Amino acid sequence: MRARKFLVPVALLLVLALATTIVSAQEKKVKWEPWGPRVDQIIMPIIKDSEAQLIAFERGETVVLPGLVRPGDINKVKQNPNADITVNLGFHMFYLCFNMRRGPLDDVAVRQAVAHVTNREQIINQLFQGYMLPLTSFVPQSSPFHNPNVPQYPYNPEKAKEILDKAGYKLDKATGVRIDPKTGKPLRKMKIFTPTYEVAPTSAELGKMIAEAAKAIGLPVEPEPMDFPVMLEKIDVFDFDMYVLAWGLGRIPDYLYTFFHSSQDVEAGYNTPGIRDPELDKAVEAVYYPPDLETAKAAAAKAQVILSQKLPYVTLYSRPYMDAWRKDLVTGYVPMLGYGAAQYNNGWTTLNIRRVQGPGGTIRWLLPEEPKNLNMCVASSAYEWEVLGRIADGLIAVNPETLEDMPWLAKSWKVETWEPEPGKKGTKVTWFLEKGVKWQDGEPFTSADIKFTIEYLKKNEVPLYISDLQDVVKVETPDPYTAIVYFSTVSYWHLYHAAYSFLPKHIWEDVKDWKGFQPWLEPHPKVKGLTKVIGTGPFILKEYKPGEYVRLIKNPIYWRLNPPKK
Amino acid sequence: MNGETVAGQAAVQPAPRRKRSGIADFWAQYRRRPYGLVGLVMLAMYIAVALAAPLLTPYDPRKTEFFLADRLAAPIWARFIIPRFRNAPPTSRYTIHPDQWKVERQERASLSFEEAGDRGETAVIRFEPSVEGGGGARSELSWKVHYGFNPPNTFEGKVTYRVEAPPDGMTRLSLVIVDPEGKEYDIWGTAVYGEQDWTTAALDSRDLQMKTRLNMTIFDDPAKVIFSTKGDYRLVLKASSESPSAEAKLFLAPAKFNILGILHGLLGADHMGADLWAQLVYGARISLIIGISAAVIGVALGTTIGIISGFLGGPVDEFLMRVADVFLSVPTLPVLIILSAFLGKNMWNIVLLVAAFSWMGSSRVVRSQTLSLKERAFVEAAKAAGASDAYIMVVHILPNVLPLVVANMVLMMPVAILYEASLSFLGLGDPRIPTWGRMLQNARAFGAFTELAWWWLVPPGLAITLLSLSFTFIGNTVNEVLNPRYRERS
Amino acid sequence: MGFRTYLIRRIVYALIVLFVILTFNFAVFRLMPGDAEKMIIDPRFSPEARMALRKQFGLDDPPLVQYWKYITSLLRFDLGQSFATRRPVASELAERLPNTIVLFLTAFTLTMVIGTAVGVYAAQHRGTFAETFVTGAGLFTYAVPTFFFQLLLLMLFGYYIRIFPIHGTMSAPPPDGAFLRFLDRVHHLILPAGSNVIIGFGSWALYTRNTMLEALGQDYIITARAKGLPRREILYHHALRSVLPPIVTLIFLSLPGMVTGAVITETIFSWHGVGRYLMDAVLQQDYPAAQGAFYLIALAVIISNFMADLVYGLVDPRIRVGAGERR
Repeated sequence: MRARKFLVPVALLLVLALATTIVSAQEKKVKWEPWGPRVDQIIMPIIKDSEAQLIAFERGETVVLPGLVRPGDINKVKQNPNADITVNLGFHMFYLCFNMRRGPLDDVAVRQAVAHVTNREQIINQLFQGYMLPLTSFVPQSSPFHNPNVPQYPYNPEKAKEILDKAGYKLDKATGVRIDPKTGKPLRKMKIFTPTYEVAPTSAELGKMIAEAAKAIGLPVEPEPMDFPVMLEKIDVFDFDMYVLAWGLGRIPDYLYTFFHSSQDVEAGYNTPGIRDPELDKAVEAVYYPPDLETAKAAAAKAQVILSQKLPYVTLYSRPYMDAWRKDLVTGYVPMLGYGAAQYNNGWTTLNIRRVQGPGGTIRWLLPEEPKNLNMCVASSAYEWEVLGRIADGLIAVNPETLEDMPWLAKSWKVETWEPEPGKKGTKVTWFLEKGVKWQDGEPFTSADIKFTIEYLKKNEVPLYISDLQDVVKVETPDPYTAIVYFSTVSYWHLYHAAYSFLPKHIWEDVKDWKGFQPWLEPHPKVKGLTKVIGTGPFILKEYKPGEYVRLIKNPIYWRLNPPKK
Repeated sequence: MNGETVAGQAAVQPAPRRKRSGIADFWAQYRRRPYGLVGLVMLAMYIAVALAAPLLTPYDPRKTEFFLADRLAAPIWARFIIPRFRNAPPTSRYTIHPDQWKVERQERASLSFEEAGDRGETAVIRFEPSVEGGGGARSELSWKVHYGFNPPNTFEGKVTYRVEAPPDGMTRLSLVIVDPEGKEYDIWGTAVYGEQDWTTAALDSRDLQMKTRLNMTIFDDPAKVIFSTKGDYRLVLKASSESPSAEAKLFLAPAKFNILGILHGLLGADHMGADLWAQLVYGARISLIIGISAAVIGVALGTTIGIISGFLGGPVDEFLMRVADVFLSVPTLPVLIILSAFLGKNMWNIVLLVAAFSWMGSSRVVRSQTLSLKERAFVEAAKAAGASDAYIMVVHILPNVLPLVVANMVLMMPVAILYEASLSFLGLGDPRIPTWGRMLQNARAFGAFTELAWWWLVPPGLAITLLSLSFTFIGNTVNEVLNPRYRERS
Repeated sequence: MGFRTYLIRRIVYALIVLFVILTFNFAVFRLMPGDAEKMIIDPRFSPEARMALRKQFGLDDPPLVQYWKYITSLLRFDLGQSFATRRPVASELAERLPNTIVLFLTAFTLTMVIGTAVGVYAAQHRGTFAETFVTGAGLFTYAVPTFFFQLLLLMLFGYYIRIFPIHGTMSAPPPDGAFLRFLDRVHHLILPAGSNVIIGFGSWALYTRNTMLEALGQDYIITARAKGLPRREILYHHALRSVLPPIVTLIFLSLPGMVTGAVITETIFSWHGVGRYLMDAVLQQDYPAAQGAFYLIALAVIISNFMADLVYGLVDPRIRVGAGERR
């Protein structure tokens, strides 16, 4: 058995090596500067039909095809000599979840056996034509918090049989089903919930593959494709054995708490596997409320080891961000680890992209969905933020190569502790703002806007921001360029909890109905040609023609238009 | 569609009661109408195809057999009419039996064959223990295959092996494809420390590991590069062993090597490499079942309601006809969309829903016929004899309205088929069964347009059209025979 | 029965249908799986936040209260808030309605005009190729699924010979100048409207022809012919006049069919309209949105049915008398 121990790290190294090949190939090209934008106008045609998107790209009606997912599309695009496909590891996770409240899935041996018959390579090669990365830990490889040294479950049916035999699940040769040692009866039928073939053919097929492999080792598992809402409903009340779904995660691994802390094992909570483990609780608490980055890293690494042992999920694969660009038309798109080159979170592409023939002019940028609602308080889909993200701007920026924090609207900040009550500790974040930053209508951006935004969102209990802001006690503004946010708990992440997308106070202080407000439909009270969608970002919303296109124009008073002349 | 249904119903006026002429008489009149005969012949063909589906195709789409060929493979005949498919490869599947391996080279190694239980015959390579100063044992086996087409997109394979060696032994295995010009492509390799039980290694030209091994990027296609010339290819299995303490053995079970075709079957393959001809053929079953059962249920419902309404009269009649009015006034397709999303995507739900929204026409026809029958002497007589209402309705009225509803039923079948196809096309069909609507939906959603794969789009659409047409022909002819007034009008 | 009584009956009856549809609309969506909070699946979205969202949509009220709120708000034309976009459904529909109306009116008018003209021509030229063509086209287009035909056109003229746009109602952005803008809209309209016309005109022509032939067989026409009136005059003056009422009625009767056909046409040609809105909403289980779109479509259907009854009652007094009994 020595051989196997040897093999595992080899396989693992390979995955890592692949991950780095993908990225390093791109990194050479990374060239970006924190100044811009370099085009005068972005037209975003809204094209939902994937076939029509491909044609639009071919005809140059869009310079980018963001977020390529379907292998067929990738194969088609890569034949285009004018296409350049950027690949970046993402924070995406596709997983198989077990319901650990139900036998026999409460037995770790059964979960391990399923993990061992899950053939990630076959899934990736057959269903995704090789365009996915196997995922073997609970934090994707792209994250700085990824821990590669966790127990692995490579595809090995023999090993799976061995584990089950050892745990007492004897195979009944006549039926091909194993006997539950606790009851002495054959194992009950278990189901894997998957989305339907119509919605997600690959997920449905993947469920079938795993079920068949499990059946072959005597675990009676059946796939059951169902409508997405029905599936979510059942998962919410824990009426399932197994299901497959995906998470789009973030840079900060605080989701480990949300997914696996015992306090989240409640109806409609996200601890759907129902894992309750005191040691794990301690680790994920430290991930959720870390006093500093180092503690968070250590705790996340520990949590990943425990999770890989207990196995509430089998992590399957992670999708890299693939974006196709018309390299004959544009240049200056910036690949970014974890976010891809075309996503709105990557502000660097927004600033740096330019036409091949030089700065200025118009580029066309595909929107694959209707943005629908451009009210920042309720906009929740990525497509809405594809527009809003280019209008808004954050206090902190993220370095595209290292994912480290960079000063942006805040030229510096301090994270300290304070005493909300005698004997208790909380975090206090002090922001020092850049001077001379203006809203797109010419009003100065000050600490009053930060204070207003946080208090407005908190007062109205805006659902999207409840979790981020629930620990905020108060906001102080000693001067227009300093804001101090006090939290009742200690967490390094509080730094990020009030750092993005601010509301202009002079517009929003009169808004009574925050959810019904449609700022893009209302003209700006003072400046002609603007709407009430106002940010501090590089682009201004000029026009939104529902169903057809969005027109953004360059913000002529953007504070980072050009580097200061020396 | 709503409007057309209404127009269709207007055509079926209650016929004056005629002497029941019997089936032979009906047939005698029917056979004289060419449209009716054409319709019957077409329908017979559909029924034959539906019944003989398992004979017409080796695949069963209900079992979702995928990757029979490359995704979006074109039909075999495309090579004769579409230039880009002129010399495209069909699928080739090879099983390399242990005795098909040819020894190319052996150093301190020997090859023999052995039975290994349920794995059948296996090839065994014995490696002598290695000696001091680096003297490992090695062996090279090769298998030849001829490739005579344009480059494929994908190849895949499987090598199943077992290693018996002392704990300090190390066995290396690799696979190399040698092209006709002698160029070598190192596609797979592994190292085994000590012993290892039976393991199957999957080779796949889409695999990132293989691409990395070949110094290719994620967007390169090894299959296209390797099989770029025509001629004899060799798959070479290289094995070597360093085993100081004892001899080592490598067991090889039959291996597999497949080249997925760009051409496949009569109609090509869909986005998952599943057979389209099989989907088309099995789709005939589903469409016939759905069309016929929805029409039968709908007309049965309509007849029942019509007889009850007409015979009982009064408030019952008023209520039932009001209900029929409501059903006539709702926009059918949107209601079906909403209800099928609500009830779940199940074929029988669709049948019941279509039936529930198509009984109104026949109920009206039957009702007016019943109204006139009610006044006839034989009904009066039955009443006087003390027969119950139910008895009269079943025994006296029903047989007299039946000929009327037959045409109605046949004419309803294409409507039901079209509704089902529309729902499936909109993504609300039963996901577990292959229907024509779903084929069209898949074609639209998964690349038929950019690939211009009209062979995916045209057959299911044409199948629906012709089936509807045959039902319409038959229905109209039946109507002409049973209701002569219809003939005068058209 | 006078026309007034008839009218009142029809109105009451239309209101009953409306009420039934509203109740159906409410009940079905209330029972469907899926909820406002399911629209957001994000690890940062805590159970508290999800409860807050439910409350925001009034989903924690008892069903009867919700029903009451639903009916009363409909009277104010408040169709609620979409789960997916959290915008008022009424304003989303208002954005899309013009597109649907343009598509629908163009297709409908053309179908009617071409269908009637061809039908009259065929009736006039019995036994010629024109007549065979009309009969054949009528039968064939009745059998061919509209969406299949549209897919074919899309593939042929959108992808193979790329002469027509494959999505949307206008270029993004449309060209400057009113005339160019108009041409741009027309260019986008040709495939979606044209396909409906081709599928629809056959049945129309067939119906017109049949009605015409029936009329030509009537006694007074035969009398007119015997009097030696010119053929043209008989045709246009007498026969056509007598077939107009049924045709006008049929116009209203086939409105609903075309309205509901919008669902499929808009889906295929990515037309930003009401039908597609319904489809998207149903697939996403966004039930306020689906309710709203369905309400609008149902309303259109009820109104056109009512109009059909009205016209029928006006032109044919017999219907009025028999209405109470026959229906």
